[in-house]
Amino acid sequence: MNQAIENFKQIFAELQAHRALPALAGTPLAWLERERELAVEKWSVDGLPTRKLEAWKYTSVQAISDAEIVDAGGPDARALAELESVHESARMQVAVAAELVFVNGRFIPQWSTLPHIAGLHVLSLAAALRSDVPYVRNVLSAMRETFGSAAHKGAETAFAALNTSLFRDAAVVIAEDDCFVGSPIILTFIQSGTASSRVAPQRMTAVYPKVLAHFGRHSQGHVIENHIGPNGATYVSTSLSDLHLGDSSHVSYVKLQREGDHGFHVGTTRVFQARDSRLDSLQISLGAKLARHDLKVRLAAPGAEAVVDGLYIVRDHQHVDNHTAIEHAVGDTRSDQLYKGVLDDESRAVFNGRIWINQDAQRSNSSQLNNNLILSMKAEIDTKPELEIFADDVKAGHGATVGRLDPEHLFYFQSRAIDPASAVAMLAEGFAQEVVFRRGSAVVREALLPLVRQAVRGLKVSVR
Amino acid sequence: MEQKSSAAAVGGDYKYGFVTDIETDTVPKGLNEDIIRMISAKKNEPEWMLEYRLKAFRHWQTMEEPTWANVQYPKIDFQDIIYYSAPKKNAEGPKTLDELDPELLKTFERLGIPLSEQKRISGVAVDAVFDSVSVGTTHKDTLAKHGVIFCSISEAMHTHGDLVRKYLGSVVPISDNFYAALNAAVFTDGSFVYVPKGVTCPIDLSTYFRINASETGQFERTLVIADEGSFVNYLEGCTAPQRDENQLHAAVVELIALDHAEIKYSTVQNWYTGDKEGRGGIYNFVTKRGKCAGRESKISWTQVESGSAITWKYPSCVLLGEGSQGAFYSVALTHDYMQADTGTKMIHVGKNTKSTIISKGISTGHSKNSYRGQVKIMPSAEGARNYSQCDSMLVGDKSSANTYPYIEVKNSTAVLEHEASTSRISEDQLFYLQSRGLDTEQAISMLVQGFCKDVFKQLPLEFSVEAVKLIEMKLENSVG
Repeated sequence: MNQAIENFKQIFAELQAHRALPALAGTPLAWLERERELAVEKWSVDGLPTRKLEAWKYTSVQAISDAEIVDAGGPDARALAELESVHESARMQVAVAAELVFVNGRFIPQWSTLPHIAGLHVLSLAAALRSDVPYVRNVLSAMRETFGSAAHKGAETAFAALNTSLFRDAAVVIAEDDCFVGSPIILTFIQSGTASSRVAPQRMTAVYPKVLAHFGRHSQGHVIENHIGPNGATYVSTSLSDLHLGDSSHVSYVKLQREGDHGFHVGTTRVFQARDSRLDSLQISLGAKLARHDLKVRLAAPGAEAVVDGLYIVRDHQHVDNHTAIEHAVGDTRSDQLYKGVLDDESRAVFNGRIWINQDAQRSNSSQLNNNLILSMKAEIDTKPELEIFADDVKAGHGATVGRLDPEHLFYFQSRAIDPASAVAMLAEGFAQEVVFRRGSAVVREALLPLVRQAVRGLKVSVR
Repeated sequence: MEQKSSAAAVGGDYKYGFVTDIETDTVPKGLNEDIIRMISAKKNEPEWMLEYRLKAFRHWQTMEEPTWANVQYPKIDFQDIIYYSAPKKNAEGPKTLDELDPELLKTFERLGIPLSEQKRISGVAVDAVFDSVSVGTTHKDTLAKHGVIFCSISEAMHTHGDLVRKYLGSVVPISDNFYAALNAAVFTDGSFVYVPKGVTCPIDLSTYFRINASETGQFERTLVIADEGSFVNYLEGCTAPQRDENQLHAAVVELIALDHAEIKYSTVQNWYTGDKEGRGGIYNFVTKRGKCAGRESKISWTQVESGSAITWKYPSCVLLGEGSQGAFYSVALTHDYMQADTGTKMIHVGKNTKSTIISKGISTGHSKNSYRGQVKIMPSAEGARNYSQCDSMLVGDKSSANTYPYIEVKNSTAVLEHEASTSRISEDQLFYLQSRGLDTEQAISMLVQGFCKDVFKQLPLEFSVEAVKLIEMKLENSVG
């Protein structure tokens, strides 16, 4: 077994000995305590994935496996003061319905804004466990049915299992039936990390950001997950977000990943969709040395619909891997995916999109597209769109393209006296913006467009 | 007439399901070094060939059966297979085709492959392989006039040993995969083609494979070499009797195209598929690969996969030469309990290399049909171009269609497009055709042919007609 797993075992043993893990017995989340034990069995037996596994064919997490893992401590006042600048850059320029800020996975009340909307509960784990609102208590205990290991048959990654075993705090978002929330709910996770060293093995702090979200019948809302860390710091974030969309709810979900340039982010999002619910998801990956994201959507009842988009803009030696798995469990469900990527320098991107249409899922409709724009000679892209179809009355399609900018387009810009570097930036921005324009909410679009512009401008495009 | 009725009596739905009663010369069941030596001795092979086989066998023993394909079958007992079976011949052996056992000639006649001199009007030279050995090659004289070598690979080992030795295993090395290693150890026959510099092969070449004996496996090896500036059109067909047991077919095909040469390789695969309940049928585990070694060389694979209980086949192109081109056109039809995991690999190494992939999958009944393909652009492949299209059609709600394309790009100047779609036959189109007086079966057949048109038009005329008929016949039995 490798170094990292040994360290995780020690960490878990120490936390148990000191009773430092959240006490869940007797609370509505009591089921998570049992899950914790099961999860430990999973990662301590299987270990971290290797490239021999099909799902990790193109992404090596050897750097994490070999690292010396230390548990990230809760920040003291001094640490918070040092992170003030990171907190500042994490801020999004929008009016929020609520914002929870976590540092190293711990809730920071003084940086957070609680909601003042009837029927909307945005709380830290401790507050959620104390809550005496019956709706909240019922929802938390019912989450077992959709996100307990029985529902997933242990199919999650070792990293998601690590989160379940070792999480210390969580962001809980609960919108009651018919609750309408117009402005975004922001969940910010700041990682402090440890100073990176030039010699292997790295010393890495581990954090376990967790989100539990439930949207009741006919509710509507926008959730933006905001992951960020300082450049130069080494850490691994194993985030795990569970979203339950009730009947006819409409939820937009953005996961914005801007980890530091030495950070590792290996996250999972699981979505369960009830009848006629609609998910509008966007996964944006701009930061981290290595980022891997698994998105699993289960369209569990007729009329459920998911738009699942992604955007990655990477450079230097960044590695980004997006895995999506959309399960059409029943008929009359719809999914639509568009993942776009801009690659510069020696960066590498992986896309693996899996669409699964069950035998009874007649009249399902699904499409998937992955477009990649390569700006440098040495960038690499591996894309694998998969279809597994067991029903005959369906429409399913996928496509993937890889290419560079059209020289004709560049020539046109130059003939208009725009220098090549600006022309490339403008074209790349136009290419990347498409996914943002697919968002239904103007507020969300306004919040994201400046980030895309900034990311594209940050590419030091070498013009040939 | 007589032919038809006997086929119906024995074969039922599968018209080639009959067994020829012929005396055979077989080796004992099982596989070990002695068996390999025995096969090699029977064929009177040169020493280097035996060495090659033993090396492959020793390597094979260290390998494990691949399990990544999306197919399920009971474990194969490799010791329960007869590795060599040949029709008995006189000590001398037939000098000409006319001296062949009349039973044999009749078999090929029933399969629609005329071997006897007077019947050779089709203008296609045929190498007929019966169980483990080649029984005859037609049109040898015409070909010899142009310097084209077309004979069984066992013969080539003696007459053109240097060429065989140089190219055998140069595209599919013995260590390539489990079944390729097994094939290298035990292959019994196959075809050998060499087209000399600047020659356009005057007639199409064809190999017809027939499994007859029971409990045997067929392991043939085909080697096609197109020298500079030459062109050859090569066709391949196969059938087997109807039996309850599963039989293993593990072939290796290697193509080599030198500068400006072009090879077109077409297959209509119609091995026995097993019965309605999925009993019996051929396991078709085949490695086919072409190497575009020269500048601007071209290799194209066209296949109609309509047979076998299980197909596991990925005809590939390694595009080494600058400006070389690879193509893959495929129709895979599965019915009843058939399982097909097929596709291609296009490995772009040279500059400005191009590849095209058109794959059409049709699944009916309880069958499983998967496309698995890889397009890999190596860092050296400046300006590479690939276009892939994979469409699946589902008929009935018990079948499945899967698509697993792997696209790996290590050079940014590459331009790639991949498209795939899955759908069922449109109700509107069916209704329209039926309103014009076609019955359901005819209408479906017409729509399926339209769906496959892009591939069928790549086949040589005779093959194209055969393919259309074959698909029609298969659909008749599987569309309820």
